[in-house]
Amino acid sequence: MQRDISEIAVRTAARGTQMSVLSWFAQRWTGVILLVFVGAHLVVSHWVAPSGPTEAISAGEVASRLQAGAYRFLDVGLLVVALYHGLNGVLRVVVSAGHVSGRLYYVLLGVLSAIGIALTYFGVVVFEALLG
Amino acid sequence: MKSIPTESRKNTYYRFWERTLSDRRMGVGSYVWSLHRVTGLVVAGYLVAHLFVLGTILSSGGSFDNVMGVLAKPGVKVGEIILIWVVLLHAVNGIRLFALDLVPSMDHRISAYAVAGVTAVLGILVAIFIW
Repeated sequence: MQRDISEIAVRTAARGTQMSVLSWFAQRWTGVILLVFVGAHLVVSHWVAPSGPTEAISAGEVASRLQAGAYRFLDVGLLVVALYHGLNGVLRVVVSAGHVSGRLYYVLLGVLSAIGIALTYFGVVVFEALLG
Repeated sequence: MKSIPTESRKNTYYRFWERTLSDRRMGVGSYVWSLHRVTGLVVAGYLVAHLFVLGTILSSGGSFDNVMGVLAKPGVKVGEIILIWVVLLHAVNGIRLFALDLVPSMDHRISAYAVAGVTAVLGILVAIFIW
């Protein structure tokens, strides 16, 4: 009886890597969230916010757009979710090559988490200060 | 040269390499899988670069509009279209993977062809829309 693909996939993921099934599902769900957020980001940045769909956006428009809470939520949410999905993906790509010892795994996890936290801080605080 | 490892010790990249070298042709699902990995890494790199560039522009005071003027040239539009294609493939295959997780009985080869088709169609629409 042939095993179905999801059972093979989950077993391979569980056996070949040290990463939890929880992060497997987190990739799926953050991916779905990103579908909405990235689409909204493209539409807002290139269509809604500039004076016309074919114009480039100006600094004033960026600042005024970010006054509204909804756009700030979109930007910060996109930043955090995209960073999680991307950095977790990089971790999975590296770990799936195999022979990642426990210590190396935690080093990688620490480095990628540090990058994620630093870029989140950078995105939220610094952009807030620069754009007011 | 090392001996071929046992099946359980082969990592996913080794298995992929085996398939391309053997006389069994690489199926469309393998292509889509490899492209999913590659596009994922590219988009992750773009994200970091995008944040870095934006931060540099904003902190150098007042040249935002200059840079946006530079970025409005048609050559940059081609880059934008290619970038959206890259994200599009990753997103469409990602939906397929999620669907495979939720509906295990779905055929993963037919859906791989569907991914290629949907990505091509949406990609052409996007290119026409942006250009």
